[in-house]
Amino acid sequence: MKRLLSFLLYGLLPFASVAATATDPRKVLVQAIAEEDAAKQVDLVKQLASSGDPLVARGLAAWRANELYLLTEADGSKVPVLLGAKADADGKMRAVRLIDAATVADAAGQPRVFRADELTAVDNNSRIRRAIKTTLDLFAITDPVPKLRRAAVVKLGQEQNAEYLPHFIESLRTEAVPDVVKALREAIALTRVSDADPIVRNAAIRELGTMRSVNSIDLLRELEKKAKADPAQFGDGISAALRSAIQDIESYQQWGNLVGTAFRGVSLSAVLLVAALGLAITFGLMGVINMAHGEVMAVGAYTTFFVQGVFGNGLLFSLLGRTVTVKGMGLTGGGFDAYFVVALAASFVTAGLVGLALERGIIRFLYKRPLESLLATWGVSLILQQVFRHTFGSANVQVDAPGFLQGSFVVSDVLFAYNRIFIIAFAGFVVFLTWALLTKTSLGLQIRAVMQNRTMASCVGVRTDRVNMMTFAFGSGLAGMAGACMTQIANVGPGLGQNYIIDCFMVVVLGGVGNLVGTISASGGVGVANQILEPWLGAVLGKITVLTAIILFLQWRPNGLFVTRSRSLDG
Amino acid sequence: MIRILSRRETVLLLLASAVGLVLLPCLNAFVPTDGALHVSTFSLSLYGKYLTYAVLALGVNLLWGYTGLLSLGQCLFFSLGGYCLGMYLMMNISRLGQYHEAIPDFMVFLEFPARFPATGGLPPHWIPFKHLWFAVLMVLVVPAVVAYVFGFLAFRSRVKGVYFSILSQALTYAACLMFFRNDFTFGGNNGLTDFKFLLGTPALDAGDIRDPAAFAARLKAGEGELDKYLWTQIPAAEQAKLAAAADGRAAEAALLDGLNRVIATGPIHETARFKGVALSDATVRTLAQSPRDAAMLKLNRRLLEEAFPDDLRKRSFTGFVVNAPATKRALYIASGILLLLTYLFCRWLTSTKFGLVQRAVRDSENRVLFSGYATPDFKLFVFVVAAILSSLGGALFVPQVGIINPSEMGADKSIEAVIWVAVGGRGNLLGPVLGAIGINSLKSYATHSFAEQWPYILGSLFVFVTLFMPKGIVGLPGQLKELQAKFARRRTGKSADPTAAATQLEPARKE
Repeated sequence: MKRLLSFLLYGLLPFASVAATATDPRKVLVQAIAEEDAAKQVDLVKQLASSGDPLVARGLAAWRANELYLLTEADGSKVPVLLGAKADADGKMRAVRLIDAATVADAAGQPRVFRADELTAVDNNSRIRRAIKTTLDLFAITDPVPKLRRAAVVKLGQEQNAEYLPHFIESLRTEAVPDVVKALREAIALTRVSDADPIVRNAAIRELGTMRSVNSIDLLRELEKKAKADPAQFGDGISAALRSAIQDIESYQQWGNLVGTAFRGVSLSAVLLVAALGLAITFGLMGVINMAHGEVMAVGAYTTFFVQGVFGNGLLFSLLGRTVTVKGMGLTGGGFDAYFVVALAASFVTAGLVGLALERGIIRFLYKRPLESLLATWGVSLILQQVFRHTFGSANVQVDAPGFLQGSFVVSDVLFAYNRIFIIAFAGFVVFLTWALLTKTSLGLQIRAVMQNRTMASCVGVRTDRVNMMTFAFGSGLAGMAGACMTQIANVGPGLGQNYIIDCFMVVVLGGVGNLVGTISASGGVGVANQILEPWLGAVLGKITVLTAIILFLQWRPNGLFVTRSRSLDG
Repeated sequence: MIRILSRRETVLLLLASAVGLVLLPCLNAFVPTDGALHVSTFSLSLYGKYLTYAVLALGVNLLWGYTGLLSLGQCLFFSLGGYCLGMYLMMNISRLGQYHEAIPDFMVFLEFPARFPATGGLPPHWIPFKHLWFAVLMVLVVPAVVAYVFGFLAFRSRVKGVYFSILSQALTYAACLMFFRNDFTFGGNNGLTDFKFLLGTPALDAGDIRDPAAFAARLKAGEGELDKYLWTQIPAAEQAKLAAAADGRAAEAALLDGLNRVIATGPIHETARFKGVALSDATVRTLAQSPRDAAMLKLNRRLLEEAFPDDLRKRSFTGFVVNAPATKRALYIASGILLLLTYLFCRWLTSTKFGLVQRAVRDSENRVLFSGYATPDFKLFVFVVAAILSSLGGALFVPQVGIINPSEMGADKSIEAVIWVAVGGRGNLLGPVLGAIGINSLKSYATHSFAEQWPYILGSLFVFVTLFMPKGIVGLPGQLKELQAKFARRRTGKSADPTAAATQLEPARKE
């Protein structure tokens, strides 16, 4: 197979030097090292480009860095060796022969150790170093990992070096991964853009256009400028080719921007929705202004931090002035990643309990005085913030993303981060949960009854007190889960809640109180509007505009987007 | 005229004025600093701050206590007033700032000259603020306009209850974000600070030099020690301009620039330098105190005037130093008078028929509406009035505290103001004043002695007051009396008040 390939390559290319004279790349390398003639040396090094042998790559890199040594064997011959990475106490290292990857050993079979300054380094010069660099770069395009292969191709393509062209073409024949194939085609076209033949050049430009190559747009624009300044140099047809290619790429870019903005808008909406949904229950359904809603979210976030510590390397916190040490389980990998799932559940429970305590302790006395519940819960939020500060410190705490939420994938040059996608999915899940609770359970039925008419519900035997308690705890639990989610996209600190509270209230008011559909559409609207305005106005002005727009919108629909109709005067 | 004050209230007010407006300033001014009864200028200025907060609290109370509108954005108006006066104070620094430029320091720092080249870096809306009358007018107008627009929109669409609270909070939040921006031309997050003079400035102005060209020539010749010194103090750039100055105007500009730098640099008096100068007694006395900062700048100006009586026009008044004890005292008294007037105004307003409607709106807006009153108009009027009152408080707050920045209009500050009113007792006039002064005294003490615990104290106070003291401190005696009566009834075995059971059956979401 290999021979066949080399044959094909040989037949294809005008470069006679890329000849398959020596089959073993290690031998070629050793030969190159021993070679006296500099030109032949360079040729030999260039032959190594398609070998794909990692030891050869190491040898070349060492040669270039002056770290390849010549060892005089027992029989007087000199062989190139590489020194190992680990040095012993004397700074001595084991040596590996380049030719067969064997460790140099003495007669008894014990490995021999050397200090770097005991050996003579193989000579190199700038021509050799340049050749080695090219070869090593080309090495990367045969890397077994597709991602690295692709990155190497993109990088080399940008250099527009005609010398790489045969290697690209060769790789293209065997390449199976579509991403890399695309990168290779792009690299080939890019390289051919600087070809001397106008026909090849224009074809390459058109090719880039049909490929929607975003990477090459800057280059094409520059070329267009040059072609305009000096049309004679570039010949006919180039400007037309350039124009159509640039237009193709630009319209593609616009489409990509649109998709990107939409995705970011949806993900911001999801964040808002997750944060506001708990409030939609406590404020929207129950009519309680819980200014501590943000802090309940922070409870969830800190619970996540705590669970992470338990699964990981433990954590320190102070309780009532005493430092408490929690020993972690020291898990890594998948076991550690599981912490996040546990944390989601745990933050629902802790935040729910905090909500329960809040309802039992304070809010139930204030159902008839909503303005005052605002003040009391603001007081609670002050206290909770200080509790966070005293327990976990005023600085932000570090919550690591579990492995499955790290990274992103790219579709058509638009970046989709896993944590954002997770939040969108999670928002859907939470909405479903809430919908199911409210419409499919008897508790939901009771909740709706109490919210519509507390007195009447109480008369027909609904234990309104208990329902209030459960509803508030559920809303707080949702807020806690929102906080757990926030750890993946925002800083976790005592002020976490304050950053979201006003947005949350605006979303609920805009959506129409007592209405989940309203909350969903309002968070969608606010999130997308924010993302659309941001590139024009900047983050702060965009936010101010959105706030103003909401105030004005409420002129038109004073009760929000979706109105729950009732016969009550102030309904 | 209707009698608006009861006899008891009159006595109380006279007593409070006697202590607050006369006794405390006298103790500050006339008792020696080491005397047992001495009130330090720092304390007096602190009390002055509390008094401006009390004015703010009266504004909040007018809205919440009397009209049932809980505005969580009242600190926006307080800060707007503060910013308006702060702008005047900034303009009044003139060329005596850090950078010796004609525009306030932060504008130099933020490179405004490139943004507003036509006015030398001064944003156009800043220009009229060099006049105090304009600043004071704006203290009244700006918050009134903002309140009118917001209130008009809010009340027209019948936003009420908690929705009004949330919207007003959003308003102040948006404004706060806006003021934090550097390019909003109000100093960004540093705000306005480094105030130096009030009602005048020791900076030399156009016309203060009688014959600029002659004066420049005299300094250049450098016959006396002082002449030589002044010439060396004038930067090379200005010297070059002076040398090239064709007419008196150009010479004057360069000379003003140079001399103002001299005034702003540091103590200029040295015995050798002022050998031939006959200094007035007052100046000698001031010299002996070796004043610093703004007071030193005033002294420098006077020294120059006395050294060159023929060249420099003598100005009898060069402004008050903002940080001087006498100014602080005056500002304190002004705050006290403002509070007293605000109190009387609120008392008058609430005792008129208007006040009656106002309270009716609080208790049952729908009934008032159906009785034929345009409740939105009533609410709008009260909202605007409360905004103006808060703004006046803010205007006096700024020179006493010496800084105004956007965090002052944060949503948390507004809620804090509400809690003063809640603690003191809303729906009457004494409560908010007591609450504002009391809680802020407590805050000053607590943040100084146990800062870590202060949020706990404040938070618990919020919770405790709303749960157990709905009428605040002022309502406490009444509450205790009720409690006593309840116990007495229980002891005699009578059943509880029958109305208590009836109120339980009211529809839950009436409010």
